[in-house]
Amino acid sequence: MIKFSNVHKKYANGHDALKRASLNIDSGEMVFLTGHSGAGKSTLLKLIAGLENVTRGDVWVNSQDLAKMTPRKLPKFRRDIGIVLQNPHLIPDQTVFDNVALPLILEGFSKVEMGKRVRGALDKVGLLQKELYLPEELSTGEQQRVGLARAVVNKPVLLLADEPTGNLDPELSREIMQLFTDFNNVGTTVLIATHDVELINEFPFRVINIEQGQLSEANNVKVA
Amino acid sequence: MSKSHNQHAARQNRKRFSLRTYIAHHRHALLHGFRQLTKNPFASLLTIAVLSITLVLPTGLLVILGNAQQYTQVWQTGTNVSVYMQPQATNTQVSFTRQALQKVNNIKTINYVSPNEGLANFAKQSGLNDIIKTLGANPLPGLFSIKPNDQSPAAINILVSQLQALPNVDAVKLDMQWVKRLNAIITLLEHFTYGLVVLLGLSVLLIIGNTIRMAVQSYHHEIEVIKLVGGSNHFTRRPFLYSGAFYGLASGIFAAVILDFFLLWLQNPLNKLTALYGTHVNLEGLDFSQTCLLLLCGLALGYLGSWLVVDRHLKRINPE
Repeated sequence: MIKFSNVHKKYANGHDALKRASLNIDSGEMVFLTGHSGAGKSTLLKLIAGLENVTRGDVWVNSQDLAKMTPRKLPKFRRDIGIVLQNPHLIPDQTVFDNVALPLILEGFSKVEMGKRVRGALDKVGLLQKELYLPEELSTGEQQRVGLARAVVNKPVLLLADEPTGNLDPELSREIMQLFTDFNNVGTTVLIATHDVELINEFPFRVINIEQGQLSEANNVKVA
Repeated sequence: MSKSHNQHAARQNRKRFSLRTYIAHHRHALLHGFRQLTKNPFASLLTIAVLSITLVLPTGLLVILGNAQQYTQVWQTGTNVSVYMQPQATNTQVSFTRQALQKVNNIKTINYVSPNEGLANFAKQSGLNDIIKTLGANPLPGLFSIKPNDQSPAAINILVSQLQALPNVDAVKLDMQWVKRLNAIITLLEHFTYGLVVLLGLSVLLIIGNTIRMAVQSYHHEIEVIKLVGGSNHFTRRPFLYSGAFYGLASGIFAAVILDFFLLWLQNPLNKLTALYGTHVNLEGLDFSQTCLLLLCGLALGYLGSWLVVDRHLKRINPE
């Protein structure tokens, strides 16, 4: 699903965010990406989502070579990926329903099918009763769940999350993480960047550590 | 396995409805473009007010120009044709020519000025009486001063060639000075108006471009989200194009209404003015097709103004 070979990312300011990074994540896997803030977690996710371009090396995502990805094809590519960020990036003057429906509008779903899918996704994250609320009327945890519902409503093959529990207390964080494992259980490949080592130790998944732009496989406590 | 099969099926499903997708996207864009105007109704109204005044100016001038051209003929009643007799023409020949003149169509009045009368008039007007007395013989020919019925250039041309063919006639002169001046004024006004149409059209483009630029900035957050979930450039920019077109269309409608009131307001003083000239001029406003054209121009300018700026500003916004 995701393949990095000798990827190098240097920002315009001279900072080397990734150095000769190689990585292989299979379809259906769930993987944690850990490391200190500024270690390169976000850069790695941005490269996968096509939000940044590599300086050197090859990136393959969902059987597509991102080096050959033209700006025109990028939106279509991104529609197959669900993205959850620390700040859920909701549209403030649209209801929860409309926010979650956005990916389906892009795909041109019919109203009926859209309603079914949106409510299905909201049900999954436990917010079915709040579809007509505005984002500002929800708690931080609920907003994050709306972001998650939007990321999965289109049934993406790959789910990327950058510090999805960054603003949440441990209880809510665990709930959100449980939701990610649920989506992984139905076949979605999941990659979550987080610095919350305690939390990921509760889950039996592969952990990749990133330090100063270099990747290494870390043994998860539970697996070991 | 069944899940991935479902995903595949879902993807197939989407492709099948590409026309429906297209329509749905345009409906979405139309709605959101309109919402951009209603989000800040006061600011939008101000923009539309500025735009409609900008549209009224050139349109109003075009309308007045059209009226002027139409009524030039009314103002041409002063047209006078002078038929000069041959200097040696005798009185019999003059009366023979007068009889011939009476048979020519399109003549309203005939007035004969004999050489002696002409010389007396000239002496009176110029004050050169003494010099004229030294001339000995009268150098002036006899003259028929004619006012035509039909004052259109075509009719006058025919008349002039008819008059030239008459016996004993030396020359036919058209007193077109007034008409020529009027036409020159109208040509000047035409150039002025077309220049103004171009300049004010440009300013409509700039005003709409600037409005849309600010709208893009205020929708920064929403644009980021749309790009994040895979909205294409077309999808992202379409509401802004529609919004620009709405601004243009609304301004066109307002401009048409303002113009009608403006002409109504001008009609009364114009009546007083034309009464002094013994005529009546009815100001013609925009007819139906001209109104449609104005709305279409507004719409096109709005769309174009938005199109000119939207891509450049959308490109600057990327999800973080």
